Parts: sequence; structure tokens; C-alpha cells
Amino acid sequence: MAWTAAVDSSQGPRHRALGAPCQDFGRLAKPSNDVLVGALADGAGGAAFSHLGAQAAVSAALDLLEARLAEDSGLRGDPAGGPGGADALFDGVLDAAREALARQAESVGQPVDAFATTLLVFAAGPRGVAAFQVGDGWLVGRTAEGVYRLLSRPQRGEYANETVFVTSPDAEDAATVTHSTGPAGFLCASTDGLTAVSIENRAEAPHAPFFQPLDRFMAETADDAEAHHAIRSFLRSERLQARVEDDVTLLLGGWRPLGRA
Amino acid sequence: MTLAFGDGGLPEFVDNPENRCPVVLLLDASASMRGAAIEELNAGVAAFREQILADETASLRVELCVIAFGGEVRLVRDFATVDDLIAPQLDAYGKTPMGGALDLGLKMLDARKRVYRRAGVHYYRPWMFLITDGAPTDGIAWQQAAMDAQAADLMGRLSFFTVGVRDADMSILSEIASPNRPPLMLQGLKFRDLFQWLSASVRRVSVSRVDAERVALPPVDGWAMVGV
Repeated sequence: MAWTAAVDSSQGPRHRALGAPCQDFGRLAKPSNDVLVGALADGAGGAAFSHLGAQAAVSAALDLLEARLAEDSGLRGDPAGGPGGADALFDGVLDAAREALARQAESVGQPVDAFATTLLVFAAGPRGVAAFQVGDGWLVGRTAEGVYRLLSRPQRGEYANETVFVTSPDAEDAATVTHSTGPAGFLCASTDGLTAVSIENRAEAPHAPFFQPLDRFMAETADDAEAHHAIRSFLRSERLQARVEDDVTLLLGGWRPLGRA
Repeated sequence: MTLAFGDGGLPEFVDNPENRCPVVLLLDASASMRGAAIEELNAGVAAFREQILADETASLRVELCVIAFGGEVRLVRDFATVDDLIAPQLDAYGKTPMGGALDLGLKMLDARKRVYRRAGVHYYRPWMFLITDGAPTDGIAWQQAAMDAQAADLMGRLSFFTVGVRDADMSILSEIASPNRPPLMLQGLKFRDLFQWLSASVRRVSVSRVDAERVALPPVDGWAMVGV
């Protein structure tokens, strides 16, 4: 398998103190040889069932993309098939997520706002990465020049604690679709929980010393389970937990050409 | 603890500035507040400071600006975190230039936001808290200032609260307050309870990550009269 990838979430210290569930959720899939898809969601803090909303939104988005990418083999390393293909790739993702939340809300007789969640979805191949986002997650990739760049930026309001959710009336307008062409050797996606330790506020740019060790690690391992273990222990480490408040989610992907591993 | 990422080293964390939560107090320090009222108000502000200091996160985030109006509009302290604050001791004298105080409060907040943006500091929705036992005496200045404050509240630029004490003119205070947030009447001189509520509310907002409109604030029945 050419992509090594793993994702995990951990409850934030504040949620643990309050007895609230982990409201983050992430999943990934490899629908074909050279394609990695991932979805991350961060349930709204004040919404009672947002942990279920996060799970439902991720599953709906991922199922749709997986099916869409499994049948198409003519994309030559770019799941979007080029810069113009990203909108079509993510067509219907927001609706699918919203429908999933509406079904859940109906089944427990709660307003859909109680399931409010952000959603970040991406599809990556060795020649292109496309991302869809509602909310304040982010996706960072390494360019061919070795620079870490935000491939999908967090959507922030004026205030530190405000963002857009899949259930927001303006979600459709706020949703962004981005595409970047070129080799993606390393990808890192997260919800808002890790932003304060990894993204520089002022420049709104990735803090390279945060990403370099992750990148080096992913370049050296070809074992998903090993990557998962490393992510898991990092997210639960005292060192990190002392610096974050919210739930944290980390997805790492490393691409190595077939035959080298 | 095992090294999570093998020999590659550990991710190094960026040192971003702490998020800030600006709070402006507009405090009536006119002659009618003399005696027990001003003493209790001073004690309330001191208690607010203690409660914020007792919360590690809030003490890094809450920035307090105090403006008094009595005789003239007095900038008692510019925005700063509360750790360096010796709780102000206000003297009560003179008339009630409430309009000028509102105006200064709004200007101070706008200026503070500009400082945050330049420095790359993320911030929470500001709070502006007006406490008075009277009515404005600075002509019609309060009308324009109140319109500005209401507009700022409605547009989400701040959360504007008004509290009347004892003989406060509640009908004028209703005109000053944002339609979203009718004025509250303090029970007796329960300033300490009021400021305890304020510190609990500010702490709740400064750690949450939801639409600020949906943050559930603690009940006000410990200090505000119900049904006024």
C-alpha cells in the first residue's frame, strides 16, 4: 500500500473535567491504490449530541467519497482529476452530512442543532489533494519545495470561540473547496483542538517545527498500526494535554512510491 | 512516557499569545453613590479580581478596563489582565456623565480590538457592563452613546449589560439597554453577588467554543430582582 496513514482522537482536559464525551471524530479510507481519503469532525461544545453528529457527518462524507473514488481509475494520481474537478468530487457531501444529522435528530426527537459539528474532508493522491471544509479544522501538506502549507484553512469568525457548523444556516456559503496540484508526500489534518500549538496565529501558517518530526516519522514507517500507536500516545501525552483544552484529533498520511517500501 | 514519534523527535509547540476576553466596567461614582453603595461597589470589583485570579486560564485571558463616571468621566484603568491590578478604590462625587462614559467605553473597546488584531491575538466577544444608581446628567449625550452601544450589541461587536441600583431611573436605563438585554435591578447592594456572577459568566465564555449567542449564562436570581 502506498499511503501509510492513521487517525485518532482524544478527549480534551476540559471535557474530561466536565464529564463531557469526546466530541471529535475522524476516519480514513483507501478506496484505491494511490488514494487516501479522510474526514474529521468536531462537535460543537454547547450541543448535547454533537459527538454523535461528528460521527454521523464523518461517516456520511466518507461513504460518499469512498464509493465515488473506488469506481474511477482514470484520475492518474489526483482524486479530483485536476484543479477543475474538486467541486464535482465533493458535490453532495454537505447534503449527505446534513441528511445524516437530520436522520439522527429525528430518531431521538431532538433539534438538528443539538448535533452541530464541523466537517473537513479530503482526498489525496500523489499528484493532487482536494479538500472540502465547513468549520475550523485544517489540512497541512508539504510542498515539493519542502514547505508546510495550509491546504485547507480554518474558517474563523471575529471571535476565538466562534465558527461555522454543518447545521448553520450559512454553511453552504461558508463551505470551501480547495485543490492543490503536485506531489503530496506528507499530509496532516486536525480539528481546532491542535491549532493553538501548531498554527502560528499572526501569519496563520503552519509552525514547521511542529510538523517536521511528524513528517520524518511518516517517511520512516510503512505500518498503519505503528502510525496509529504513535498518534494515540502523542495525543494522550501529558506534554500535549498540558497545552490544549479542547478535544484533539490528528490524522497523518505519508506517501511513498510503490517499490520503495 | 515513550517517545511518540520514534527518533524523529517530538513536535515543537508554537508559542502563540493567549486568547483575550476584554471586559469594560462603566461604574457610577457620582455623589449619590456615597457611603455604603460605593464601598460595596469597590468590594465587588475587588471580589471580581480575586475570582478571576483564582482561575488559571481566566487570569491569563480576562482583560479589565474600568471607567468611572462621577463629576467627570474617569479612566480608572486601561485594559490589562487582572494580576497586576490593585483593585481600584473609587470615590463618589459629582454628577452622572453616563453618556460620556458609554462613549469612552466603546472607543476603548474598538482600540483594544485593533491592538489584538495587530498582535495576532485571538479574542472573545467583549463584555461591557454599566452600573448606575441614577440617570445621565450630561444632556442628550447619552442618547447617541446608547444608540451606539445598542447597535454594537445587536451587531455582535460586544455584549452590553445594564444594571440599576436602588433609585436608578429604570425607564431611562431601559432606553439605554440593548433590546436583547433589558436592564436588571440589583437586589439591595449585592454587588459582590453581581460580580461573582460576572466572573463565572466570563470564565464560561472564555473557555467555550460555540456560538457565543448560545453560551448559557448562570442564573441572575442571586443578585437581580426578578420581574422588574
